[in-house]
Amino acid sequence: MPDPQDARLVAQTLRGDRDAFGVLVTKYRDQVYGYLLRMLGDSEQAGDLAQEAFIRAYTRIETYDTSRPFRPWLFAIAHNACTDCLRRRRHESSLEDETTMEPVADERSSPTTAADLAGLQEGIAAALQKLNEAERTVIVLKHIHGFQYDEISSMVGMPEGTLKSHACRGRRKLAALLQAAGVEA
Amino acid sequence: MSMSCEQVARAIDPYLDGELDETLSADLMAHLHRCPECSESYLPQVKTVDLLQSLPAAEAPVDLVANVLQGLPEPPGAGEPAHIVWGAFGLGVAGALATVAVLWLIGLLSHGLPGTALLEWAALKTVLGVVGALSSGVVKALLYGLALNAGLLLLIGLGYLAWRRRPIPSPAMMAI
Repeated sequence: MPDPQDARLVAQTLRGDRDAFGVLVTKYRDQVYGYLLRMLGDSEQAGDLAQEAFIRAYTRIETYDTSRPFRPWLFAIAHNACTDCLRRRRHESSLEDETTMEPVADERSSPTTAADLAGLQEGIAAALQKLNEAERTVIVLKHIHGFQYDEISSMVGMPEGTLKSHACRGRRKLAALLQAAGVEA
Repeated sequence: MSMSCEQVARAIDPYLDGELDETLSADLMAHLHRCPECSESYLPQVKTVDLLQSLPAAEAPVDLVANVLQGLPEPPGAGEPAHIVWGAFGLGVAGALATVAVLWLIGLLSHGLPGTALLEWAALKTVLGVVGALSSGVVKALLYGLALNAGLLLLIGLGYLAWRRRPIPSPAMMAI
């Protein structure tokens, strides 16, 4: 079921009301940015890509099916923008770039203070970057953003069974990486 | 009911995917806390998923909304009042119709020179122009009008040249 507020804002956007689209951006900016940040591991790139994803969403707003929820549709656009960016990055990447990747935090931390929480988040962010793209995508969408497999399937164009396999492998790898780095809840 | 290690191995992924019911989930967790081998194998995954789900939301840059709104393209026809769009469209159509009329007149005056064929072609272009203008904004409407009239003026010129080169009928033929 689509959120009635989203449906109303999309209808207003379609009538040329740019401020209504601004309300949608305000509502979803943190989620879209958070997804891209966890996928790319780079806050500046995530910000730029979030902007690009929202502009893409605006230019394609006529293709949005108002009988379906807006959030998965928006995330599918962000996912496509992210896939394009990662493809470009793979083309441009060099061995030097790979060696500058942040290592997984190597100090045992427990999230009791703000500093520890920041360390924990950095540890998770670094570990996520060690997963392959498909594993990272499904882990982030499923366990951080709470999407169901059928929603993720329509977003990324992969069968649910394949997604579950990626999730299973991704969870095992991530748990091992976090354990090795001493990052635990 | 107590779960066996084999049952836990089969149920762990559905549990982590949130697809196991409450009773089975409770049995599975009870087994994990009781069985050192299963605990070592699966508890880190459970903790990892708990960690991921408890992460605080990331905060987007403060200027993201402003930057998005600034970067939005103009929707087709947006910002132009409807009367301007329709006015431009009307001018294009009127110009095209006037040209067709002139062309037809030239064809008529030139005793059956390629006026009929030109008229048919011009009518087709007019229809295409109207359809195009209807489906577009003011700029496209003007462009259609200009392109249409430029094409028709070219045809007028060609028609006029053809008419000038036609064989001059003799007085005898005129009499027939």
